[in-house]
Amino acid sequence: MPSRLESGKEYLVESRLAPLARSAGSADVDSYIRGLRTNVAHHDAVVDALTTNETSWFRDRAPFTALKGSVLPDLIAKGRRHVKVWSAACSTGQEAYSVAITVADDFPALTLSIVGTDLSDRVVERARAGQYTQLEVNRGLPAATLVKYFQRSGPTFEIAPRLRQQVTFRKHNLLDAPPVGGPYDVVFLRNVLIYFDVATKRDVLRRVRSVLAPGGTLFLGAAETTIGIDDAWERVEAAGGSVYRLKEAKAA
Amino acid sequence: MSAVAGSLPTVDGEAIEAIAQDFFATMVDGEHGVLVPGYGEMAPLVDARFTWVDVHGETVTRVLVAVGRSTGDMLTRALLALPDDAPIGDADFADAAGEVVNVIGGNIKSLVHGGGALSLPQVADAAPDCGGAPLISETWFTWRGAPLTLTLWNLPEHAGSAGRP
Amino acid sequence: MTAVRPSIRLEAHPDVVLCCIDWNMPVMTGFEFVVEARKRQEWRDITLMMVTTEGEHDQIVRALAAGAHEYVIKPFTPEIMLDKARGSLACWTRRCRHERRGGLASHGGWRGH
Repeated sequence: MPSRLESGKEYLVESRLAPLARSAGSADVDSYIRGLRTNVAHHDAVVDALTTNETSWFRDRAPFTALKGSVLPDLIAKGRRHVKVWSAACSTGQEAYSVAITVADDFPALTLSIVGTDLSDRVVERARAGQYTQLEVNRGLPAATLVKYFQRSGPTFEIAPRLRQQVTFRKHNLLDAPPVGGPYDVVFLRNVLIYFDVATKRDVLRRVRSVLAPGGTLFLGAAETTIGIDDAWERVEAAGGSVYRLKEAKAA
Repeated sequence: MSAVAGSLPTVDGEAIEAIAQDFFATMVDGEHGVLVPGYGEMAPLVDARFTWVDVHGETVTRVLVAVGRSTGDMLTRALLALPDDAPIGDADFADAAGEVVNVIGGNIKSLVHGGGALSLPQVADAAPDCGGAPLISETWFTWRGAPLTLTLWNLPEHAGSAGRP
Repeated sequence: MTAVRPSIRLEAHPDVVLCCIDWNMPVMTGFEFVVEARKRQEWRDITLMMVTTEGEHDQIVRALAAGAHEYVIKPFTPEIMLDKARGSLACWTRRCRHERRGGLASHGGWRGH
């Protein structure tokens, strides 16, 4: 995710890039940065070093309350036994696994397949490993859930294999064709549209439409909306939260 | 008496670095990148202070942090959220230094084979007597431009401060 | 604190609703404190939250089984503490139903005062 550095924090760039400069054999950070203009291979590493991929379990809570209180019960009422979920811009996988935990806790009869995608190779690898540091499991994960679904493995906590096997992670750019494996009943696309201009937002939302199952649900970040961007969507209240669905006429 | 080098427990140096950096990023600095691994020649510690805990596992691992007193005072202010010019007494210093090694040591416990009870932290003006125990890991950092060392020692069995169940 | 049982400190503060407890303390461990506190009928409504560098699976299970509501492994950020405290206090509020106001107390840590 893009990050903007406040002024006065320039030293952070220096200290975060210093290890990369060292491992690349550059004399100092300045010469490393000059080299970046020609060496595209290092760009991913620089993006990772400069961005804080801080995310949390059950982030913002409301989407998971809506999922549990409305979206999943509705799907089950329609006779669905299997649900497909796309967690877009999934970072290190907490959102995808939070969905798996919600289903395991409250809808044990439901089977689930989740696709988690992110732009960064490194982040996708971490999500796939399902191993989290002590600090990461502190963020938003109730202790009772932690001991139920994670096992300690040295310094990290590892997600239970039965949850991990419900999730597939792959590298994906939201500006490319959506990931195969749809149509998806639920799409999480949170806190990522805010970084795009209107034309790009519209383009991304159109791609999401193309893989959303009939009656499917889209979750956006609290500060995001489809209103004024893509009129095919409508905002619907669901168990105290807001979700987006395709308008009937267009969905038909 | 020193153990044969080949029989010493090994610990993951990168994981130790990450533990220290996570602690500083969250409870001291509020951001990553202020505590950075040092490289090259380490500047000497000025008026050094030592703080340590013992992890009782299959053997006893001593986790020892050393820092210059004035750097330790800055660290105390940062950790206890005191004003920049607050005078730091020995009690506050011991509180903060002990907290540093308690958290780092407790986290390192997960890297130590059979890691069990953790002792209460000790703080002193001189390096503790490790009884000639072998060093199993040595990392140094710079924090706000000053050095800070983090070392792990493999103490003889039954040595070290008592842990609790 | 070394000479004072934690229970005595709590009794002096009847308005306490949340107690943060380190595992590693002089005199008695945080775990022992949770076990003891849970035996006391008059403290039934106090939310007990372990805040400690100890983070073994077994320790978390034991603390929760003994009656701790939440468990925060150090290190933590202010956001993590607030989130965990809010989460466990929300449970407490639901349980109590009636409105009650009180302070937040932090019990000890290993530090002796």
